[in-house]
Amino acid sequence: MAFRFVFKCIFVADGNFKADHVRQKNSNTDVWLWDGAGMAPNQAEYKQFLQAAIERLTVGTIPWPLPF
Amino acid sequence: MYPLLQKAPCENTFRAIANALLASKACDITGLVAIACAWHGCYAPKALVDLFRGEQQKNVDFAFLQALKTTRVDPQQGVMLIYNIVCQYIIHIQKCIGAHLPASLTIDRAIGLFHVHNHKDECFFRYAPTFIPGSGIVAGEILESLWSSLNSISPTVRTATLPHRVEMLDDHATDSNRKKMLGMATTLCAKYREALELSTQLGKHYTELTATFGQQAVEKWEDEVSAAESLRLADVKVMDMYATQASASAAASAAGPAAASASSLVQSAVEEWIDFAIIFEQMQ
Repeated sequence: MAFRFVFKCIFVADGNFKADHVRQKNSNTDVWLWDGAGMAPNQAEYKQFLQAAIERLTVGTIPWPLPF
Repeated sequence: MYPLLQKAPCENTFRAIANALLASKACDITGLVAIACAWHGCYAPKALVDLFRGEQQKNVDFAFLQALKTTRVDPQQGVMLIYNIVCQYIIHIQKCIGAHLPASLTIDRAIGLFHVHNHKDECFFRYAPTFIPGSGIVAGEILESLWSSLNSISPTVRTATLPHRVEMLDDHATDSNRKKMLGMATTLCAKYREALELSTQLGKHYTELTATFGQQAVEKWEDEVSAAESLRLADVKVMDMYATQASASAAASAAGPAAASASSLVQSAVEEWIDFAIIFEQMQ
């Protein structure tokens, strides 16, 4: 605890919408060479997490659509 | 719809949230979310996740959990997350992934200096890294520059197969990390020199300000600041004390000095921001 403010891991999270992917035919037939061994997560783990995830949309207090 | 809401965007809509439910017919993956170290700009392993329907909380949740795991964050040490919409993201984090988080982990939160000005005024004092003890001088926008180099290759894999796309992105992200590692000693040496200089400058500035306003006033503000900082993790509203009090007396004894005492902190943020903008411009 004594070193708490000497060093703390600071993460930045951000989205990138340029790196999208167009749906391909037969995209499931290709082989995953190093699934989850690099920067991208293991596909199965990720899918499983998403399915089990508790959906909690961040909504504001203003009703939408706006009443005017 | 933005002009209508611009006054108080925190109450409602950001692109990240508005897009959260947009699914695309042509695309099976609509984008990426990454987690990187705010200081060194290295991607966190296994935290470069695909988005399927805009930027949903669960995608970021997963990336954050993976980053915590792969970078071996010690719960005792704590962690800080800088995210564009953290003021809304953090509200549900315990409900969503509380079960997966280490029990004793405190998560500090901040909004990057580019994005915080797009929020309500209060968010600046509550979430700008400038006002957060232990955050150093950090803009929290390092991913924007990482994206700019990744964006030059990501269009080429738009129509690749899914595994090939991931391998390409993996490759480039890993390469970016490796280059960072090789250059880190040089960068840190230069940064250290800059920091020494900046520290001297700010020290001088601080002494001048202290002389202008008197030791007593400064001590009072320091007490106020440390009181607010000790409470801010429990109740972030205490940080609003940094805001100028418009309703203060005409003598402005509260407003003037409060703004001035903040200026030494703000200046470093502005410098940081300008530095970053220059780097960013050079990269384009």
